[in-house]
Amino acid sequence: MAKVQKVVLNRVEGEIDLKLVWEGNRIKDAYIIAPNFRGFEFILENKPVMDALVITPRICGICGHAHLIATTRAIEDIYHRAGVELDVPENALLIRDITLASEIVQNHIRWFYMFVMPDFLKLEKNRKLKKFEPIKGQQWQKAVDFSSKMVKVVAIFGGQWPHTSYSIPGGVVCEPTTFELLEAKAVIDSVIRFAEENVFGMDMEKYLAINDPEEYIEKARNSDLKTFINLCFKHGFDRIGRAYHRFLTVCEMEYLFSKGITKRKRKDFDVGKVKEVDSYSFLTESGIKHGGERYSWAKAVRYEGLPYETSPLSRRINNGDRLFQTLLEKYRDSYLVRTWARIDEIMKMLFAMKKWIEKIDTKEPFYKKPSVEPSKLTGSGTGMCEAARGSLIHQIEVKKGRITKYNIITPSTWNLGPRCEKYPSPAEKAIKGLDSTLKAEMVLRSFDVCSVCTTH
Amino acid sequence: MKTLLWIQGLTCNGNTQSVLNGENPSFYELLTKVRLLFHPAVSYREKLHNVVERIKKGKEKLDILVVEGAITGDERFGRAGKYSITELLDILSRKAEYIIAAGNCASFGNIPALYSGNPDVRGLQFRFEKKDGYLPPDFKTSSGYPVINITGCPVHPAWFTQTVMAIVEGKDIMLDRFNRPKELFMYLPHDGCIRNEYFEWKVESEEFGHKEGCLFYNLGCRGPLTHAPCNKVLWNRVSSKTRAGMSCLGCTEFDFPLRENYFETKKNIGIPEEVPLGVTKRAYITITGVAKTLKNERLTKKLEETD
Amino acid sequence: MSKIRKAAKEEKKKEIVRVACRLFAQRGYYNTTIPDIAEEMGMSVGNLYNYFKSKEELAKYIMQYSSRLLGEEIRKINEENIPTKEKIYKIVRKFFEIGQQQPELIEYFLRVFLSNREVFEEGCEGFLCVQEVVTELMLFLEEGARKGDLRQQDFFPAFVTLMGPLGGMVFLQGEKVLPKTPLEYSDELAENIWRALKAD
Repeated sequence: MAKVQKVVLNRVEGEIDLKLVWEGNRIKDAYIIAPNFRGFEFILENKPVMDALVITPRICGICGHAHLIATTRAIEDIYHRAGVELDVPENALLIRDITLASEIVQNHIRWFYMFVMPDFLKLEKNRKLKKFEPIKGQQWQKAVDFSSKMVKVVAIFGGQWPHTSYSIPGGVVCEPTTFELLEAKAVIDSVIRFAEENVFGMDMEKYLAINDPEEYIEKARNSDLKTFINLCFKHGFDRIGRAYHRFLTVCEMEYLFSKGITKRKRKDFDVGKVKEVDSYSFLTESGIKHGGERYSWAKAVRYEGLPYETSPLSRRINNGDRLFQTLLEKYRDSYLVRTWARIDEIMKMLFAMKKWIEKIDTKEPFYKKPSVEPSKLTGSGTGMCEAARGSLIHQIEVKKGRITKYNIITPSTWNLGPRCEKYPSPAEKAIKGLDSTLKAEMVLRSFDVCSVCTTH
Repeated sequence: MKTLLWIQGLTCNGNTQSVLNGENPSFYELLTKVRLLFHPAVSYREKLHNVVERIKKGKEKLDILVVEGAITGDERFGRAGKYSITELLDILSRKAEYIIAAGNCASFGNIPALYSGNPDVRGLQFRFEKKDGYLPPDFKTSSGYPVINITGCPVHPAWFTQTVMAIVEGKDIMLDRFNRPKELFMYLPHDGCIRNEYFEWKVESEEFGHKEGCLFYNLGCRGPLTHAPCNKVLWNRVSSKTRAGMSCLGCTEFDFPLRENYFETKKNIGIPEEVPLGVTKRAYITITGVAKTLKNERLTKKLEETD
Repeated sequence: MSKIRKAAKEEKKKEIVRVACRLFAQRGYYNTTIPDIAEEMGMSVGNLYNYFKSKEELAKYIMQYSSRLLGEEIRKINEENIPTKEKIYKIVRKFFEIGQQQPELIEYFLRVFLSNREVFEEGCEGFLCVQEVVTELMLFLEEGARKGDLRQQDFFPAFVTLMGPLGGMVFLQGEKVLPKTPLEYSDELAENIWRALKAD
């Protein structure tokens, strides 16, 4: 008879419970349970629409800035659909991308060093890995220092991180001087040095030119990514953790990636094909329901009825990156490839940030006030962005400036939501067939679990 | 060495993330002065359940309990591992020498307490303004302190790490009426704001996106009405909302989620409904009239064009 | 200076203000000289200069004095715990009462302050010399709107709706076209102002 085991997962953002169904020494089925629920979508109802800029970032302490950007874009879309063109200044668009990228880099550094590497300490006793030990380890401490340093960029433009609301319909609130730009640039340079010396063991330029995994392993100096890759091969993490090999990206970012979906071939993304399914969720269209087979506060989300992974890996695939196409051919969407893509993005984002910041012109505006007061808005809008963990979608309906409905689909909902009648979620699928609880935890962490976003 | 245990209720993790940004001391520097029993984002071998059981049986002393997130007793909406959040508090609140509420959710209930679907959401000792938290109004830990509220959405890392340092060093911590460390929360974000001269001369921002102008009169800034040293102890040690051109949201106060229209100043017939702390409306209006009439020429120009 | 001497000096200053105000209002600002005022007061010109250094200073002081006087009266009404509508009735009545008791103050406002702006250019810019009245009216309007009694709008239209009719009435009286005293029109006018300002 199948044995059922419940695992409480820490070292994720928030808390996730994992219900594993064992058959012999293999996991036959896995249920990802997001146990906490705060009711943000309900709290937002009847609030003035601009207040969403303050409330939605507070869904998540680690990717709150992505929520801010999604809310900003959703409100701008309401204007657009109402026939009011906002003409958001180029400077504002650049700064929004820079701050969003800062948050993402911060996230990837913290996630890799705080959540991923300590798992290998559990997997093997190795004095060389001591530097990854939480709190005391030198690399752990550096990761905390440089991830904290990274978000100083958000603070320079937005006042603070976490939880600023500095991006608003029409632009951004700041009007930085040349010297603030130089400070931000200095921070980026400093994090680039950290990435080159510690994470990649390779200069930025060289790493960005890498097209083949073997080439990287051969050319890179000793580095944490290289250590990680070797550990993956050693423990077979290039062969486990596979999901559906389907990838979704809802937004493009200059120098970084284009949007699209990849099943067998790459296609255009159409937001109209996104549907939420609540058959296994406590949260349903007709209110809160417990009991039966319902097991998570998250809803399942499907594209054309199918589960998709959304993540930095999805962004690489939908962008047609040579390195990751090669990796995918060799190792499929395994733990190794998914995790590498997250680390890879650190360097790519830093590169793009340097480009963007050069384009800011302090003599040009950073904000253009919308010609219509938000309190006069009636209609609906969708705001999307690519957050640290993947695609984020906000949908708002407003009547006379007040929110009548707010729907949020987070990347974690795509990846870690519950099953639908036909398919388990990508992370649930990736765990099936594993032979240890630790591996199940590790595969789950490769999706960069954010339970606070999963359920909000 | 004193021990520290960090637990979470209904939270966004923002206080953890903020504390990780800490400098002087950083979080890991702090952990050379206190022994961490468990933190959900940091610990990798220890399990919460085991730590709690040891504390329960008196095998482990608990000196500083840190709570992040709002409290609910309804297990359908929130759990911490194998416990409901209130079960966990029942065990730990009796054992802890100090309890710190890190951030507005643990202090006041904050945004999660707005959700009507779960009316059982509160802070540790307060629910918004009232002493209607999960722990009784007269609750004190063995140190003689009530729950020490370090408010903010999120908490500022230095406010947190330095409060823990004060405990470790046995300093007296003076508290204000919301049980916040007085020496931090006696300042207002207005103190040290680089737009202060615009406030003095009532040069009011009409819209966002400019270095110039005070955000109080039109754009909803709560700087003169909020207790927090945001412009003294800067955020991420580089800036603050008002320095960046964003209105203070008043996020260290109990009423932060209860207010509406954060980007607009509530006015009646053009006159602000609320005036800076410590001033009567009559005095404020008088001084405004004078300041507006006796212009400061410098403040009427773009900063780049001033002498 | 002893307290008694200080009080005596203040009293004298008030008397000068009343006399000067009357003369300015009757003869016009430029047709009235410091010696004229000294003579009317029965004091020497030199002594008068002990109180006011110049005619301009005296002119500005008169405005501040009247503003303080009227401001003080509106403040008392503001501090009463009565409905907004009743406050309007009381403010209007008080204005006309002062106008009846000390017509020179209102005359001065209309015929000197508003007609000779150049005199008041420095030191009385904007609302500086009428600050007390404006402050009290702002407090009244803010409270009325906060309680939901008055319609939300910009300050200036509301201010003019309140003060304009009062000035108009006094002006007509000055032109001697009013069959009755302004005080007798007080309630009717207050009702008009209330209806114009009240929330829908």
